[in-house]
Amino acid sequence: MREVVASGRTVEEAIAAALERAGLTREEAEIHVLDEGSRGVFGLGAREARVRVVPRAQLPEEPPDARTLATATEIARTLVSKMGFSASVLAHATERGLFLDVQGEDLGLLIGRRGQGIEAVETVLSAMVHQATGSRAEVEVDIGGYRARRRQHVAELARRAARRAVAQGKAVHLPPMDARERRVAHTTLAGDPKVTTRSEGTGEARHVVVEPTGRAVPARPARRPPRRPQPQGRGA
Amino acid sequence: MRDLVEYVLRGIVARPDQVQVEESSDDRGTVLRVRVAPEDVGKVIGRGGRMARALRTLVRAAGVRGGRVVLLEIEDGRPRRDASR
Repeated sequence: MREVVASGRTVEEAIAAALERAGLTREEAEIHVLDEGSRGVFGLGAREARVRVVPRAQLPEEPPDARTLATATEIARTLVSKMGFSASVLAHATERGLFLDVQGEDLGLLIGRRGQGIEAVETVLSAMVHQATGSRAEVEVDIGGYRARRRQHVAELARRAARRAVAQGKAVHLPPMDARERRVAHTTLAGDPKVTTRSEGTGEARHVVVEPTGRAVPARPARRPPRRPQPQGRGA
Repeated sequence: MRDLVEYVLRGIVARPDQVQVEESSDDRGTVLRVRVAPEDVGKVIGRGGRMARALRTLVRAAGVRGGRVVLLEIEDGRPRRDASR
């Protein structure tokens, strides 16, 4: 995994942005403050804070072995069936842990509003799998292909926003999304030199903004109020 | 329903033998009262209440699936707050 540099109005904001882009939690990352930034005087000479995050020690977690996968599958199956749903569970190893794919008919209630049920199943299953196997592998869950579909949808939204941003020469705001989906938007456009992305807003309103590269703030922001995030800050 | 909650709790705590789930019903619906070993209370509630929230979400979904309202109360050894949320 690579390192990520991001900027923000404060060091804290820059760290949050960098972690989001890197898909790391604070515990998983080493954080280097490159520039603490400066508020400037009446907005003159204001600099944004910049930080770099790198994955800590490359997470020496080995891929889960067959037994861990089997245990996880069994726990997921039992949980879902005790909840009154009939579904099958397939597990496979991922880069950072394991993925449990729950498939079946009529799983809407389990998925929940905006996938909140999946979130809950994931929280509970990771705790159970960690307890049962002693591993700290990341446990990811999808139910009825909901997250896979959302991922495709978000990627498509992001590409469309990029085309529009370039065509109209202005920033395009995507609808609010959770961290997982914002990350999909960022990574989808990471390879597109014509646009840069960043996140804006807080809490439920946090969303990705796509703007044409080079449009935004000049390298040395002379007069702009310090609110404005920097372009290289694609800062999550 | 009680079976579900016991299954999950026994799977996440350090002291599965200390898990107790009491089922009763009142005008709000089915109430499941959960008691675990003091050292496991933190785990069952989770960072920022994350685990408790997840448990409630699961119990609610399973309840709707079975056509009833199910509430989960976690005894944390402190005086009762409004348990309905």
